[in-house]
Amino acid sequence: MSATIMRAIGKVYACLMIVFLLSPLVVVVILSFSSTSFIAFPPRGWSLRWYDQLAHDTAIRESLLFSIEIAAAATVLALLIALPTAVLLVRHHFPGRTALRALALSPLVLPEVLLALALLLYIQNGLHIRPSVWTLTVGHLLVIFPFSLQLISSAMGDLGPELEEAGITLGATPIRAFWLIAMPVMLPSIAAAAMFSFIFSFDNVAISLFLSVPGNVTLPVRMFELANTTNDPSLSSISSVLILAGAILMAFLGRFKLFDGVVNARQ
Amino acid sequence: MATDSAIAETARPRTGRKLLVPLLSLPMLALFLPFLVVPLLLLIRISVGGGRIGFDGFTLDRFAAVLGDTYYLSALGITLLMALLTAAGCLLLSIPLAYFMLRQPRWRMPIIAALIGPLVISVVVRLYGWQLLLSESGPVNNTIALLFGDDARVMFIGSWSGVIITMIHTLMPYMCIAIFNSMQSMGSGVTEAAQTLGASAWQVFLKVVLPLAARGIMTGTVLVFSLSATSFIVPAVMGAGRVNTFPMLIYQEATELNFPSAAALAVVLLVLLLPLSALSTRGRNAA
Amino acid sequence: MRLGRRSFLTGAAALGAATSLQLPREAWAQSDPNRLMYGEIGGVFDAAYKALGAKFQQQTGIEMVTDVASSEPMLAKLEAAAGQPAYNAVAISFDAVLRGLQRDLIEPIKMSDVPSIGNLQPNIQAPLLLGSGMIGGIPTHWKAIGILWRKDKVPFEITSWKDLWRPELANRISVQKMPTLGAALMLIAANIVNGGSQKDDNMEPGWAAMKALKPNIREFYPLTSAAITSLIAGDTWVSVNTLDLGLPLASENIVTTIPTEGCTWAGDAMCFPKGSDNRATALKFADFMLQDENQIEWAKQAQVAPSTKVVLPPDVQSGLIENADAVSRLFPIDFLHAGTNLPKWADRWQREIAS
Repeated sequence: MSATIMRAIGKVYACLMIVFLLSPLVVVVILSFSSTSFIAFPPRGWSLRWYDQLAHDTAIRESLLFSIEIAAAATVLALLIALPTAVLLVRHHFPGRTALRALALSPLVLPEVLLALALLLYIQNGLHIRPSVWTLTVGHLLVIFPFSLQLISSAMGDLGPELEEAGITLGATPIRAFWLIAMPVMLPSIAAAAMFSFIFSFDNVAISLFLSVPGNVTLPVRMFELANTTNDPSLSSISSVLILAGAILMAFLGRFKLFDGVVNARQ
Repeated sequence: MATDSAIAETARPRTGRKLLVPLLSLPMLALFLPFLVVPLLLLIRISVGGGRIGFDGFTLDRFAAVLGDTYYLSALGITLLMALLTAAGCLLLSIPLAYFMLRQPRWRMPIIAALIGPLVISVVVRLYGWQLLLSESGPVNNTIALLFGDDARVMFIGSWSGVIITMIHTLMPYMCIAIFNSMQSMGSGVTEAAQTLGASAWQVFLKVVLPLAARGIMTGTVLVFSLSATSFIVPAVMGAGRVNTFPMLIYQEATELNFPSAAALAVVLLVLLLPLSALSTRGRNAA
Repeated sequence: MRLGRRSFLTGAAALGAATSLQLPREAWAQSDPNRLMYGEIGGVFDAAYKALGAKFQQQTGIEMVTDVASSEPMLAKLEAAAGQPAYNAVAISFDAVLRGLQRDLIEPIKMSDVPSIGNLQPNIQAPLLLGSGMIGGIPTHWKAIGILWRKDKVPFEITSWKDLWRPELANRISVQKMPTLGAALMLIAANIVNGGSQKDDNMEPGWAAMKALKPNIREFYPLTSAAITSLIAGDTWVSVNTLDLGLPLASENIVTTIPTEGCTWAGDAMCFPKGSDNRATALKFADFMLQDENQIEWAKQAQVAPSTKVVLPPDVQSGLIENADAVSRLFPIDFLHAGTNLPKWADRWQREIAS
């Protein structure tokens, strides 16, 4: 098959995939302009009422802020812990390495509900600590840690030790070699790890539900319970705002070429 | 490799190297030992314990009950099959897309935006969207009816098809980005070099790109499989209560305040999935 | 402009540190008599509680702090908390209250501690009475559950529970998913119309009937909104659901029907977790809730039928199906029986009906 035909097929495929990926978002945005107090598609009428309601909803705003704070704290901590762990698991041999790797990834294979309950049981019965914002952050940290670790180790593995070794032969200490040589090249993967970890924490329902602290409800939990008691399109206006915020963020990153890192790694 | 340890030795004293391993493992252990290992041990303790929360006595009855009951086993089978289909579907869709992103730099931004976009909205809202898209009178079925007639309308919601489609949509971004990251790291020169040496586009893809992206593929597959096997909200809503997965059973037991049973089910799932995640970062350079 | 690696990392770390320092202060204050830690379902109820909470604070100076979780996770949290709950009061469904009492997670309330308790409707408070002047919880509201159906899709008029079993409705009905009270009530309704009774634990007619209903059930809905969306979209033609939800949907050809035999109902109640240090504050709020003007505000905001004998203004009452006529047609429900057996029923339901 000639190269041009393959390229054309590729473009068609990419377009189809983009449609597939974005179609629920399109539906949600359209729904947010629906005038009815129930969810109907196509909308029976048009109105801005859900955005108006959102603008006056302090609870949602507080939850949004709270979710961002928790996700930011958890992400920063996850990256800080994942970096040395990745170096350890990828670059060094030692007995118990497989076990440590399995442990690091174990939160992924535990249903979140049970992890949250086990953590709650342990915190209250074992440690005698009250559920607080910090225990909630730790819960989030545990479930997003495998993401950070996986993405960073994958990049480190692909990178190979050659660059750092070259630096070492030139006289740098292993630490300097890592920090000055390997880190910059890995930055796009670290950015990707940060992004996914943040989103996974931001989106998390189960941990937030069980480890919640009265007075501070995360956005996904609030939205989940809204879906459980009402059937109006108000949730779609919240999501549309989030989509818009995400789009603006990506445009901003693209403009300042920060995204180039994620998009064009090795030069 | 003898050379690098020799080099390290000339750069620093030997004791520094010995300390490095425990030092590097400190952050992770400081987090995991108190907050994951102990609760996990607690979970295991509860699953074999008697009494109300499971702190007294010892019994393997619960595990016998789970493993001997076709109801639980079929739920387990459903869960694993669903995870397998989701992972396979994600792979099939992600690899070509990631490769396309590799070869067409100008398409990268829009595709990454499309991949990440769905992640920022809440899972509940994403389910609203899919429920409306896949409903019997929704756009997808309307298109099918247009092409194949009204009788061809598919019941997506309440069946496997709806669950799998939504799960693939939910988890594909993770797979695609992991694979793309891996493909990128090989640098653009490799594919060009292969082509100048006379390889066809197919051969370049199969013999050069895929093997080099193996690590990303492994990472993505394990991620997607695990997330799918432990997911509970998507099958509950899109399956409309007819596709019953293991995590849903766990939630059921937990909210019925049967913590020991829930723990036993979780341990079974853990035992099955943990070895899978352990072999994820092997691959080339398992050094 | 390209941000250097160093400044990016430092910036990110600083941002992380800054946001974590601004995290809201720890809200563990359930021993604080000036704050009421309250767990509730969220959604419309959250807005209603906020409005009432503001009024309560005006009157008493006590701040109401809410947390959101539906009944099932809430009870699980209380169980895990083992005597150290984070809440002074939680609003959960009747069966959860009774199950919680059984498992010693909830402390009964002395009725004489709540001055306005006489305001409650007798038949609404009856399920929670424990004898010797004690009650399990203070009912906050109740709702009638019946049949919502599409008159443009269903080829006949639905008037009876038995209509659900008609072959024309094959693969077109939605009922609530287990393990919820809604699903239990479906079983109880099927049981009643087929001659069974909760009184002697004679549930077999209900189980047989539900097995016979299997071919007609298309969806076991986990979220209320999913059921209504499905009904509006036409995937399902009939939904066994809270009747109030159907009233605004007349424009979508949806009929709200209380079957001739009667309908099931459910209620939520405010109860006090065992180990909470702050009963006085919680009792104050319970009494506050029972006042007429607060019940009217509550009904208006949350769009639910109040639990007291208060007469609602016509504009509020018109949005609710729970009027005197509806009250006379309620099935008698043994919530203790339902709550105690829910785990067993859920297990059997999943094996025989939902698979």
